[in-house]
Amino acid sequence: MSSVDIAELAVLAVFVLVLSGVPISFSLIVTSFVGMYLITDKLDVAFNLLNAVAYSGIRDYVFAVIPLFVLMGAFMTNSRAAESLFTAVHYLLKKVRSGLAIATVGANAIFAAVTGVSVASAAVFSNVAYPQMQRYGYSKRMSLGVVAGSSILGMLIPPSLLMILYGILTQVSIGKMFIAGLVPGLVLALMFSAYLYVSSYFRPDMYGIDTPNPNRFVLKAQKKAAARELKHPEDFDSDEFPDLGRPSGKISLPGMVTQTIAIQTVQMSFGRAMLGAVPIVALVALVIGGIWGGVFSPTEASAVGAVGALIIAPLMGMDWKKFIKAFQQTAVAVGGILLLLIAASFFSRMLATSGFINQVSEFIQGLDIGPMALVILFILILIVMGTILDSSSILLLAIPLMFPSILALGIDPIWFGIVFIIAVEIGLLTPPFGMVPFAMNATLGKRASVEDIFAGSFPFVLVMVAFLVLLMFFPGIATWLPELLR
Amino acid sequence: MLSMVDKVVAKVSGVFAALGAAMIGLLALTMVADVVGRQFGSPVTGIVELAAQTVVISAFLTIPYVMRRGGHIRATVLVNRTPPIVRKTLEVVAYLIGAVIFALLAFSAWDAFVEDFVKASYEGEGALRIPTWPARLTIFLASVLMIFESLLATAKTFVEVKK
Repeated sequence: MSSVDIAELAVLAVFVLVLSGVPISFSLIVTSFVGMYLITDKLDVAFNLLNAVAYSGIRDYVFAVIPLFVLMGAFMTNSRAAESLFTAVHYLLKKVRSGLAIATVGANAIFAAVTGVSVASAAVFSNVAYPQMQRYGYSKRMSLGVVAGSSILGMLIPPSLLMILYGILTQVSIGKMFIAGLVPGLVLALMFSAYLYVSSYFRPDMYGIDTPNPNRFVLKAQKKAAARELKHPEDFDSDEFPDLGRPSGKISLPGMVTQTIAIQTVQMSFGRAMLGAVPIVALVALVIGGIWGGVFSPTEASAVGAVGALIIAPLMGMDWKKFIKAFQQTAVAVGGILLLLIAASFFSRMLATSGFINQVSEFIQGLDIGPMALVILFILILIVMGTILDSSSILLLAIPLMFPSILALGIDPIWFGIVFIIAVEIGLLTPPFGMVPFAMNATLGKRASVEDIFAGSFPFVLVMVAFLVLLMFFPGIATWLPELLR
Repeated sequence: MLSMVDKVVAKVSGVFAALGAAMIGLLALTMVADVVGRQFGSPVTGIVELAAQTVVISAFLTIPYVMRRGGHIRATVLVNRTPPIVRKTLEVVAYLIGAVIFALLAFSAWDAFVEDFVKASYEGEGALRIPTWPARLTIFLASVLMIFESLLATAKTFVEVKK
């Protein structure tokens, strides 16, 4: 058996193990160890490499960006940040047709700038925005789709875990990836909003417009009741967010809490509605602006972000219990991602030693299909992978195999990074197994079936495909800003 | 017996994770101190190497806790559609693989620890030299803890199936 054959078997073994529910990091480490032993026929080599990747594989200043941004996101997720943003954006859009749905997209776009994980955004906004849209008579599928679709902005708008991993694997500057994500993130958010606005004229019933709303009477009565209580609005405590570390089936949102937000939004003064969003927007400006202006490196920006979030989160309802919870969530996310990173670098070194990676890129270049056709082929593969795996695993598995060909064909690595992320995120919304609807289902429990969420997100998937096509014809959307920095 | 061992291991994993998370928090504060201090001409010495070592140590301190919380990233969509007995069997396979790979890692990390400790190896240069043995030792201890966590998870699955 040649070493390339061994590597091929190892790739196959990883897929079998992963689909059998073995943790992805475990699958990669065990196959890499066995593969390395079989290729070199020396047990020592396998041991040495395992020891080397566990220590040197992550012993790097740049990698500190991962735990620090995770910590920042955890502080913000355990405060009322998402609610404050939603309230503020909704206030601005309250006269706009389908304003509540557009507010969800807008609040998600800003929240994306304090967290780097789509699944976290989906879970938080399931609790914050979904009940609101239901109350205003938006159709169930519509409301679920908006939350699922706009949550993908979390990965596209910096800081983004996927961009960090992409930068680490490809040696593309993480700071440049962050800057490159800004315009595509905003354009996609605008495209989502445009879709919502236009389609509300074709299907007003889905947006609670011009239809008898069974909730309307109830709402009026509640408004009056709440208006009396509003003299002490600060007494309304936010509801606890679900544990993001592991999906649970518990439903954790008593109606009362969100109703008060809804009514506050209607009755609040402009200043009061904006007040909650100001510290978050300031933090975002500090972190992104700092990277943009070259004041600090992405790693330093993540530290500034974490400390900044630690200062503003207690002002927005993070008490001691949630503070501890933020650290617990950080521990779970950091250990999981860094072990995955160790495992993936073990695996790609094994594949490189075997000559498999060379063989794959020779094969791909031998296809002679031109750069655009190749990118489209990659996109299709990524979407299929996205329906089974989570986004960071896909990136760690696919990039070592795809990236050499991208470089060889002279495709802009920053542009490909953005295309890559969108393709993976499309997969996360695609049946049968896309992860975002499952995460939302875990948060919302019986109130929303996975099928409804998939159906509701379908229009957003189409918008994202349209956006990919747009990126093909106008690569400048992704490359223009980072080129300005050069 | 099993539940007693389980409690002790859970406690140790929890303490490890708390230390790891606290290190991340401290790193954030130190780095901000560096950014601010730089403006006044007094940066924190050796921050780059300090951050690098923190990543390794905090990663391994949290890995056993992630295992306990069932947080190691896995694809469950297919497995969840199989009958319980198949699912439980596959779970046991996953745990045993975990026990084996962390035994391999513990074995190789111990040698590296002894070597670095005896030679007093360090990373970084100039004013701040950071010894490498603490990180090596953390990898070893966390791997041993992972063996315990994996075997306990296996044992607990067997007890569940028996019931």
